[in-house]
Amino acid sequence: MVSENKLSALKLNYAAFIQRLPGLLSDHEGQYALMRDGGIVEYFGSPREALLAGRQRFSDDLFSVQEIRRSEADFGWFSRVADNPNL
Amino acid sequence: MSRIIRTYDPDIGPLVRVTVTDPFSSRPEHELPRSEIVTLLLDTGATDTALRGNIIDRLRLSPLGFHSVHSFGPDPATSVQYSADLEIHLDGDALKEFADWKVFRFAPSYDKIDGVIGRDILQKARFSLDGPKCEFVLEF
Repeated sequence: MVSENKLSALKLNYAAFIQRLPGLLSDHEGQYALMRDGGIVEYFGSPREALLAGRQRFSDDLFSVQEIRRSEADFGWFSRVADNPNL
Repeated sequence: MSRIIRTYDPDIGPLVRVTVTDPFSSRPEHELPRSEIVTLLLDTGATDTALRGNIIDRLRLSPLGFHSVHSFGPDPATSVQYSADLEIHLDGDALKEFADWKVFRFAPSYDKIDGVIGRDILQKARFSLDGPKCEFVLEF
């Protein structure tokens, strides 16, 4: 399970990310944004690169990696059960 | 080209076995598993690959971030992406590896599957389904 502090960091970064997303698509679509305290630290080409960079820079693990994409995810047959607020 | 040819239950759909691994695990082998074999539905209607939450928790996959997901409810829904390595089991013990991949967390209500393989993977394969024979082919 994700810790409360980590979950708070993920939520904070996501709230900031969705505000900036429209402006990011033209230059960074398909990349992964390493985020900390609501700000974008750096862009990476793969989720693992971003995750490793986050772990090296932030020992408290309070960062997130946001995929820059224009479409929302769809789980096909299971779309109705996608939301899971308890993580 | 590696492939899998298999019959499927028409009440469920085409299923494949997939090994999910936590790429960052440093746990000794005798402790909690760092990989697990799961059963996933091939679903061309899904944009992304997704796994049941209890599997993600057992493997302690690393969370990446939230992402918006389609739902039929009145409010926008979100789910968390996780980092994972995937290996699809093909015929003859062959494996198709998807390293440095990401999976979404979700809660399928159907207990015969552990998740779905979506178009993020299927677009890298040739996938055909023979309905009358209840047979599918997945080739990489």
